[in-house]
Amino acid sequence: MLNRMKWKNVIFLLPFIALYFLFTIYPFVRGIYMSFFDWSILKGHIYTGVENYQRVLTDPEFYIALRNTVKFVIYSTIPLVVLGFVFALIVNRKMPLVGILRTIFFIPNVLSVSVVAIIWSGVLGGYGSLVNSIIKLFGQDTIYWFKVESLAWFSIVVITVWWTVGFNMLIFLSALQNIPSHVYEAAALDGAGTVKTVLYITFPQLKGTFKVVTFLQIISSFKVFAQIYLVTKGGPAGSTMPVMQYLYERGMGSYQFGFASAISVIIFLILLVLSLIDHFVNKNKGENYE
Amino acid sequence: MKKMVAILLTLGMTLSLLACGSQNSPSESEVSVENEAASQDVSEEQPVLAENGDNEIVFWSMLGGGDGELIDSMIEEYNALGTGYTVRHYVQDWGEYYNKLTFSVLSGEAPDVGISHVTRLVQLADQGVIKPLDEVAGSEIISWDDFINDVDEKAKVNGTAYAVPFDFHGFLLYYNTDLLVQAGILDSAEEELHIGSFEEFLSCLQKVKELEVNTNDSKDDDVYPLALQTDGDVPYKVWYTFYLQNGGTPLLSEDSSQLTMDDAAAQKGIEALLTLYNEGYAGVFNNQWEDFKAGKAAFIINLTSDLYVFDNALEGNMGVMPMPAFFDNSKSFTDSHSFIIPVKESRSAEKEKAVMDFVNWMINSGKWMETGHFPTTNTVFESEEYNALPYVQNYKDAVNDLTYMSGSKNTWLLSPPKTLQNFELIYADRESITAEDAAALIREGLETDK
Repeated sequence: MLNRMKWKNVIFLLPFIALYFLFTIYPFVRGIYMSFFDWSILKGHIYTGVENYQRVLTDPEFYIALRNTVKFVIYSTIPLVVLGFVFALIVNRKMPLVGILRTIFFIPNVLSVSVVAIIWSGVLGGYGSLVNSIIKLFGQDTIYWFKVESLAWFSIVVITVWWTVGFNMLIFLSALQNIPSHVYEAAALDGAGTVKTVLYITFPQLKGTFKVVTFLQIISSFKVFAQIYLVTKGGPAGSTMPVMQYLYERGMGSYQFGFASAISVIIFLILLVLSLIDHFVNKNKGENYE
Repeated sequence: MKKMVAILLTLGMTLSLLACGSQNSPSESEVSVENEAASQDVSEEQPVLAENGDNEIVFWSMLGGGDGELIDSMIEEYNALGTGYTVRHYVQDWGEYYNKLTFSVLSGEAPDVGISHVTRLVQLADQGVIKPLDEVAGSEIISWDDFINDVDEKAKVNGTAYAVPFDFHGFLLYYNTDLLVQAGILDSAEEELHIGSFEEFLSCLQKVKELEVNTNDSKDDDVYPLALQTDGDVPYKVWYTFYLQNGGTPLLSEDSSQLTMDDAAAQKGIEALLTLYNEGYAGVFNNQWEDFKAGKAAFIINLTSDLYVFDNALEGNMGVMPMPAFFDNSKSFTDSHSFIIPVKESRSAEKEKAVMDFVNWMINSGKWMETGHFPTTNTVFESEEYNALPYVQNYKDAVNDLTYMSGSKNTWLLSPPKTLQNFELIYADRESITAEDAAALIREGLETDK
């Protein structure tokens, strides 16, 4: 019986395992292999040992890109977690049109990154963008959102929050709905208001969820690439270039595939460490409602 | 029974998933916002490459928009000649063109003929993407002696020809005749502009700056003297022109291994560029093409490719002249589109001959010059058809001053990422940076990129 169950499970898992192996495990192992070569796509490969790794670790550009990535993680994680929670609180209330509100908060999440970039280039952009046309009505001059470092970071964070906050909201919402209503009823009987209920009931009950969302967000923010590449191209003067763009440009820009593979292995190791920290910190993920 | 149904359903879903998966490439849809609409149009129209018959020549280029339409009309004309071969033109997204070309060679699905910038040939040859022409059947059809200024020599890598030059697209100085008349620089719109030195140019810019129209409350409504990007590759190319005019040598050695930039010329070049910014002649973070077309700027230093675009936008209020000799000479930046033969084992010698016939016809047809580009063959340069094109007489002699950037194995020197970043740093620090420090930043950028 047990054997038959196992076989059935394997059959159901097979499609996923096949695709996962083909598109994740195989490229991963191949990438590690390539990182030890001077890898030309058309003219064969030369074994270079750890030279690629030495080059990455002594390249100041790598550290600038890494620093930019850490900046983005810090700038984006806080609003994405806090706003995700606040939006979840709002749409968890029993009020009219709450379904529409949920959809509004979540819908940007289903857009592809190129669509998001096009929309926001039109909204912020330079001369003639939506925001600049509005501020022009008030007699102000054009603001170049993507051309000044601080404004570029601000824009990227706003774009990312608008695009992805719905996902965090969904996780918080499902956690909120797991809190049994009798806990709130008891608090209401004891005379707790909205603020006190959030502070002393909701917040402590969601401690585990906060940890999970925060770590997932850090890892996801660390992998930032497309929205920055499409909106600022890493500019002005490389000040918003994340480590993934550094990798992309070395790989696809100058075809240094061995070198780019070494960068990706190093990024993998950084993410592995972050994931391990997440694993140990969130060991007891279960919420305790009793 | 239920289990069997479940298993069958699972298999069905898996197969459909695999089938769907093969239709879309997420990386393609996420790579480039620019030209996305254009490339989508293209992909809808394009048949699968496997349909390429033996009598069909597949031609790839990055020439979309108006340029693409012109190319298409030329190809239509060629196909109507009834050579036994049909040329099909596939426009690829500009930003991904060279990547796609390289990967098409890797997958054995390379086009029969493509377009490459001459300054990119060193890289493509080094990577094994393009075939040396002496190994291509029919390359003797090309009249190699007919090229202007031995431009075919520029299409050689280590002495071996790799491409057939199609055009020159170099810098010219365009101006808005309306604004120049208003500023008192020209007496009438018909008068031709003459600028003999950088100082003369600066005094023209100053006159535009002092125009009475610039008294609005908002800077956005002002007319300004020179449309000049403050980021991207334009400042770098303008600097390169000033560098050349100050006696600058090629940026890299012949084998592209050594940086051979002349520091003194680099400093003089960057000093001139910084003057344009710091005297308030160039707008801040402007879009130079849009501003010039909208009549917001009096001058623009720009490639030949926009000649008729500007002319249409300004409704005849445009003037153009060769790059003036601002400093010691009148050299200016240029590049060329050229025909290349990507490596493909399965292409027959007979087809290669047909490809070279097509290339020969293209370089000798003057029609492409309707874009504003300079021709590369004496046949076209001296033809009545070319000489009758509007504005050509104003600038055609500038062909002798056009100068290429060096080719490099690792980076396309026309858009070197670190160097362009450093140009943005120089711009950000424009009021306090010394020419010496700025030249050092350019050197550092090129040293990293080369």
